Amino acid sequence: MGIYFDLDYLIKTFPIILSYVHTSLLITLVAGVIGIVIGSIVALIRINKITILDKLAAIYISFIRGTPFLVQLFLAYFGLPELMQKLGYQGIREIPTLFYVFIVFSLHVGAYIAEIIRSAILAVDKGQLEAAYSIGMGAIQAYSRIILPQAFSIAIPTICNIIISTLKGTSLVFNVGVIDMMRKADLMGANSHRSLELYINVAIIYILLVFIISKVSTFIEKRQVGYHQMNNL
Amino acid sequence: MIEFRNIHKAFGENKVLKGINCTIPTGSVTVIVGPSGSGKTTLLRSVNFLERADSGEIILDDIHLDVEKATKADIHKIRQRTAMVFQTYNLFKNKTALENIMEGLAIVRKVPKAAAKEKALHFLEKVGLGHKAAAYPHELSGGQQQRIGIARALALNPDVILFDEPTSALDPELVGEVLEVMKKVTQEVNCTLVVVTHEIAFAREVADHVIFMDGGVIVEQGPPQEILNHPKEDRTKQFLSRYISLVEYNI
Ligand SMILES: Nc1ncnc2c1ncn2[C@@H]1O[C@H](COP(=O)(O)OP(=O)(O)OP(=O)(O)O)[C@@H](O)[C@H]1O
Ligand SMILES: [Mg+2]
Repeated sequence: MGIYFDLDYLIKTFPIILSYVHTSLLITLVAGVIGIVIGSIVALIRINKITILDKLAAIYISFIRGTPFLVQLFLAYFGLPELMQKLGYQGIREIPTLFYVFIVFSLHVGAYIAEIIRSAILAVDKGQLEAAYSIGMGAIQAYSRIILPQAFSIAIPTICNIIISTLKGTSLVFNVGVIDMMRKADLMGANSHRSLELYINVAIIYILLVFIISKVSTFIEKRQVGYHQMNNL
Repeated sequence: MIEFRNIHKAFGENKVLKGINCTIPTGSVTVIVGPSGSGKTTLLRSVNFLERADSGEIILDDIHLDVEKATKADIHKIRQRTAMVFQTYNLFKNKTALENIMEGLAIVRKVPKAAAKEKALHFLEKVGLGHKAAAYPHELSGGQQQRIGIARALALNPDVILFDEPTSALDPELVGEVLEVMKKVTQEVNCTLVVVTHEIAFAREVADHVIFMDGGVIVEQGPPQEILNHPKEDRTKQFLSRYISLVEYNI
């Protein structure tokens, strides 16, 4: 058995692989936060059909949705520095790789979340906006205080799904030289010839993380409902 | 005072308002009645520009607007002076009863939070729902939601409150409590109230002025005993006979 599958090796290397998890988490966190901000802004642009910006937003979304993620990553990582150099910017070498990774992930998440929030806003009853206007609110107040909070409640489960696929998407960053769990498993496997055990470890860690995010998602949903119930006098 | 001058509005080919002219005096209770599709809601919503009329003038005391030329600032100004009670209540679903009333005070009128809260509670008591301050709309009955909707409008102390069929989405057994609150409002408050309703008995009791609309025009208007008891126009007679017999039939 040990010849085919080395359980001791799997257990022994688990903490080593796990010690690289922070890269994936950091990318997911940054992309999640920036993506939600981008997504909200783009959704509002599209819903209110703000002339030129609306066109740009539509192009942005169809580009992100229409191209493979790896292509986007390479475009930014290999393409952007070239372009900047040709434009005369010399400090390319000082920009850390993670910077490009953050940009691509944030733009990627932003495009998907924009569509989610857009349909969530459309799902909010039209009467809510009218009521906000009727008491004298302007558009910014109405959206930030009434419409967006309700849209987010509607969108939470779907946004969590996006966060989960973003997390899984971080397994591609080794392609641009970021050392994450995948890269570590790759390096160790090259020496030990025990790639199976190493990648099982990677899989276990991803499963655990996805499980945690799902739990957090249901917790937030429950808390919203629970909050309402608790206040029921 | 609200004055409509030659208000026209079409949705595509469908001409919904065909030259509305009328004056609603300050502090009056004006009830608008008329068959479904006659343009009552559209007229009411044209006052606070939830629906923008195609042409005509709307005058609210010192605000004099040509609807075609009204700017964002004009619209904002008119909305600051009016409030609306909706058929489907439209309470903010993410806010408690108290917060629904506070919102306009604290956020729009910039009343300090403590004062806004106190005032909101006062109006919540007024509609008999002080004990529901912390409840969310989905935890309240339709009648309770509509009473909060009325409190939300009252708290802003507007010049005009526009009511669009405030009881017609309610279960019959809840209509009474809302009408009670509305009667109280008509007695206590001195702002101008414009009420679209099918409650003829209510109109008879509280209205100073009744407007009968049909097919996008005002067919006749006047004091309630005149319009509701001795209408001159055939269309009004027809509408009322159908309506009143229907009510009697239900009883
Ligand atoms: N947003 C809209 N888009 C298109 N048509 C509309 C719109 N709002 C109203 N209408 C049309 O305008 C006409 C008048 O509608 P309105 O709601 O003003 O009537 P109403 O007198 O309030 O009727 P009801 O008693 O049924 O509420 C109707 O034919 C309606 O279909
Ligand atoms: Mg109507």
